[in-house]
Amino acid sequence: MLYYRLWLAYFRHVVRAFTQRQSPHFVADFELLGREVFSESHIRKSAKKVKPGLFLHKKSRRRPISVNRMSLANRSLFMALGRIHGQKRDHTFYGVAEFTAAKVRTVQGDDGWQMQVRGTPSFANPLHADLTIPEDKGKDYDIMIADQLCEIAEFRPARE
Amino acid sequence: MPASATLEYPKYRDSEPGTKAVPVAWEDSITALQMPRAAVTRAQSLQAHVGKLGQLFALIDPIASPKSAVEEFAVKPSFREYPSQQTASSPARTALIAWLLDLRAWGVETEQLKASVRDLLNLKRGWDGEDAEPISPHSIEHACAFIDALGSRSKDFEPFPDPDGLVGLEAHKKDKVAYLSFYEDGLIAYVFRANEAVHRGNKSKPDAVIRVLNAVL
Repeated sequence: MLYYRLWLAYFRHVVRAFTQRQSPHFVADFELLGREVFSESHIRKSAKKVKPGLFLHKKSRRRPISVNRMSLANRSLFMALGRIHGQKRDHTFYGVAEFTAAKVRTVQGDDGWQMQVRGTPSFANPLHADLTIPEDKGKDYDIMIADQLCEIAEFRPARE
Repeated sequence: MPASATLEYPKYRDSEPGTKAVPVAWEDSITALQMPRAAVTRAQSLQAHVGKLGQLFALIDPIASPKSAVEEFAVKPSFREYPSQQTASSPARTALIAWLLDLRAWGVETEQLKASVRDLLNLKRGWDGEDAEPISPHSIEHACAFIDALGSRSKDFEPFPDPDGLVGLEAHKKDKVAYLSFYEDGLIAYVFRANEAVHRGNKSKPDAVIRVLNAVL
C-alpha cells in the first residue's frame, strides 16, 4: 500500500512535469527534500539541528547524498518509508533532516564548486533524489560542505 | 594554649622529582581553611570525579593556606564546635570557593565530554544505516588528548562520529562554528567559520590547530 501511494504520487508529478515541459528528474527550487536519520549521533542535543556526520561520506566510497522529495507526497508517507528502511537496515529511524532545493543550490565550496540536486527514481523509491558531492578534496573540504548543509537543514523527529 | 603549638599544615606525600608536592588528602587542606561543610563535600566530589585535577589543587596551597587562617583553626580545633565559624567568610575565602567551584564545573564538563567521545566506541560498522566504519580507538585517544590540551574552551564542544571511523568535535557560538576531525595518526582536519569567513586545514598538528582556534574564534 505504501509503495502504491509513492508511485501514485510520482505519476502525478510526472504528469505535472510534462505539462510544464520539464523533466520529471528536475527538482524545482521550492521542493522540500529530506534525508533520513538512522543514528542518534547525527542529532544535535540542542535545537532542531543535525550534525555534519549526516552529510559526510566514506573516503573509499564516495557517492551522492540520498534524499527524498518530501513535497511530492505526505510527510507521514515518508516517515513510514523511513521506518521500513530502518527495519531493513536493523536501525532505528529517528526522523528526517529537511531543507529546500533552493537552499541546496546555495551550498558551494570556496573553489567555486556548487551542489546540485537531481531526481533519481528507483523501483523501491520513485521519489528519491541525489545531492551531488565534490570530488575528493580533503576531509576539511567535505566538512565545510557538510557544515553548510547542517545550517540549512532542520531536523524533524519521526514521532512529532 | 599558644596557637603555634597546635599548628597543623596539610601533609604532603613524597612527590616524584621535578613535580610539585601534592597534599595527602584535599579534605585536610580544605578543612584547615575552615571552609563550609558543603564546599568540602563539593571538593571531595571533585576529587572523586576528576583525579587529574588533584595536582592543580596543589596550586591552591600557597594562596589558600595563609598562616593566619591556619592559626585561626589551631585556636579553635574543630569548627563543628563553633557553628558560627562555619558561616564566617572573608573575600579571599569566597574567591577561593568560587574558583574551586569553577574548577569543578570545568573538570566535570571536560570529563563528560571525554566520556561522550569514548561512547562513540560503541558504534559498530554500519552505524549510520549505510556502510560507516566503526570509530577508531586511536582517533578517540587523540580527541581526548586534544580536549585536555584545549582547557576551559573544551566546554563548548560536542562530539560527532565520521563515517570514515574518525571522531569529530564541533562547537557553535553565535555566528562562529568550529569543526575538528581527528585522524588516527593524531593529525587534525579542521574548519572554522566566523560569520561568512571560513578557515580550514587538513592534516594539521594539534598545537597549530589550537593556535588557529584561539586566533579565529
